[in-house]
Amino acid sequence: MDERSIITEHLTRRFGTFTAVDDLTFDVGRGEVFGFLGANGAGKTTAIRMLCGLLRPTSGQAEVAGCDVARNPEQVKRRIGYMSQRFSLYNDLTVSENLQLFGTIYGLSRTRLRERIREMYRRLSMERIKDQLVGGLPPGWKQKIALSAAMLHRPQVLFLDEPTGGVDPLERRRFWELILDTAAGGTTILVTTHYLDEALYCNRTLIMADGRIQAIGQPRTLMSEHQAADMDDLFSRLTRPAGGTTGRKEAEV
Amino acid sequence: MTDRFLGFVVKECRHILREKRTLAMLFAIPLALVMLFGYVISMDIDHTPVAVLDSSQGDPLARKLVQKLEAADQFRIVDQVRCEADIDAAFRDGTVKMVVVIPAGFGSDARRVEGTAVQLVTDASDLNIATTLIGYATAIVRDLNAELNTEQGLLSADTAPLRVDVRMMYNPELKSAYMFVPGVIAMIVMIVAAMMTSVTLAREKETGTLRLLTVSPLKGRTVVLGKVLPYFVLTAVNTAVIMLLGTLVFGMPCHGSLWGVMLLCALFILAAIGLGILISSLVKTQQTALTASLVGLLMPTMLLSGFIFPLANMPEAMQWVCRIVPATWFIEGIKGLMLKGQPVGDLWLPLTILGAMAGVLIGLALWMFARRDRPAR
Repeated sequence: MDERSIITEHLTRRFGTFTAVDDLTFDVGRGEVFGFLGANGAGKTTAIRMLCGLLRPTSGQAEVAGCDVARNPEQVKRRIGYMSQRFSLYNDLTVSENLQLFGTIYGLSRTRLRERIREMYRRLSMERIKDQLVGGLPPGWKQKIALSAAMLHRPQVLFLDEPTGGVDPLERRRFWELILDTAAGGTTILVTTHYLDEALYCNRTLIMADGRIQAIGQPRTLMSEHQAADMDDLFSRLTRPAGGTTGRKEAEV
Repeated sequence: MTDRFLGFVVKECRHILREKRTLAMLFAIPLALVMLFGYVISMDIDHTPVAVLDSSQGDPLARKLVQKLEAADQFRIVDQVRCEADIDAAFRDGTVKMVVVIPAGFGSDARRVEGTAVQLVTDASDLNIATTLIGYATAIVRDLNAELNTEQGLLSADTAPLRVDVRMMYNPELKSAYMFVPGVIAMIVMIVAAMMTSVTLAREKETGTLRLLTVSPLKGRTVVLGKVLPYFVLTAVNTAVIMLLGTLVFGMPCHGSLWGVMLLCALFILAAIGLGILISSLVKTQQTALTASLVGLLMPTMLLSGFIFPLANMPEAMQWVCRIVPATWFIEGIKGLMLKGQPVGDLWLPLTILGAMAGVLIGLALWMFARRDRPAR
């Protein structure tokens, strides 16, 4: 069995004359936490949409969880999970209703779904809020529940698209512990983030600008290779090689 | 597939049932509208002023007829009309609601083979009263017929020496006061089926939950049909409530086929849901979806469907615009089936057009959701 969960080869997507993703070649191993960094418009979202089977590549190939994203997007969709802070749960449904919905959508049988939901309540100790509307919960809880919903069907690969937006630092830290825990269980995780310090939690990161890979590797190795003081510095150097000044908020523009 | 579909439908139902206030309004609005329109219709016929224009010069049969009319609780014989020319004035004053015209030679003609006719002239500007009065008067004439037959030793009740000749004045199109029922239904269908569908789909877009659905293995058609089914049921229930209220409380007749009426409603609701999905695909926020539905759907449904303004009075070009409004065909169909009692076959045009609209719009929605390859923003 191939130990790589994501393999891309010269993955490219053009919209008219604009090349959003340009010749992306990388792979992600099983159980790896892989950071996907880049400013808005760098091509992250387009790349993820191709990897999720939502967008056909103009050229090149990508294989996710053993399935070709262009030829077999439906199989890809079954084997992955997707979670994002922006694209969240149904606020007017309760916690358990949301979990039931997503479990059913991903084709879990009723008994198995009940089992997994119970296990999830235990693990995150959220039994007492299961009948509350998601809309009324604090962002930290919403985030955990969204992650749980994306994990119910035990996906091989989990896409976390800016999962920690609008959450305070302590909650972010707890959330990352949960992510690392999940990866330790064998799930491959591809995460995009605006908070560059979070990249240090990743086994490897890929830094993208103008649709191309600027750097790929272990965060600490990358920092020392480019003589960067921290991730922010590294990011600025790689995405703005000409500009001498380093803006700390660069990534959040 | 079926489990997924059911799961999605359950979720939609939860959304609908959770919004208790919206749900209550969806039923309160049509009830209020029907009550409002309904009570404008005068229902009771009790000693209604009726004039007799007797040209038979004291014929005993004519006198008998007048006595019978006088004896009935529904009528009060008044003395306003002495000649043909008085009829119009009496109706305009409102002092008389019906004039019974007895022709010259009434009694003798009634005993001939060819018989004679009683003319019932009514003020059809209030069609409800007019038809009710005609009903009672016709029953009295039928009574008299039976008496005449026994008197002449005829056993067969089929021979009718006295015929009834009805003349409706002031409302040549016979526009019924019950027109408000299909009108209110058309509006409610637009609000529930079209507007609500477009707003909920726009909400999924706005909050991003639609993204979660597209990333999932859920098929586009499951999402579309999972939206269509609950809203179809909700609208159908709403429509049935209005229909029952109209028929049971306000006495709206249903002369034609009930199956035909149901088919017509179903097609109209589907077309409306299709319009809602179409609107939601063109907008990004709930607010725009709401505005677009109000201006693009509700206004034409009220103004360009023949509900409030008769189509016949509109300029030619405007009538063509009205013909693309689904409600126009719905109202025409309901009018034909329920009020005029036309057979379903006569209404193939509104049925076909609504069916085609429903098919094309739902098909378009399915096609749009099946399309996967769209550029990222």
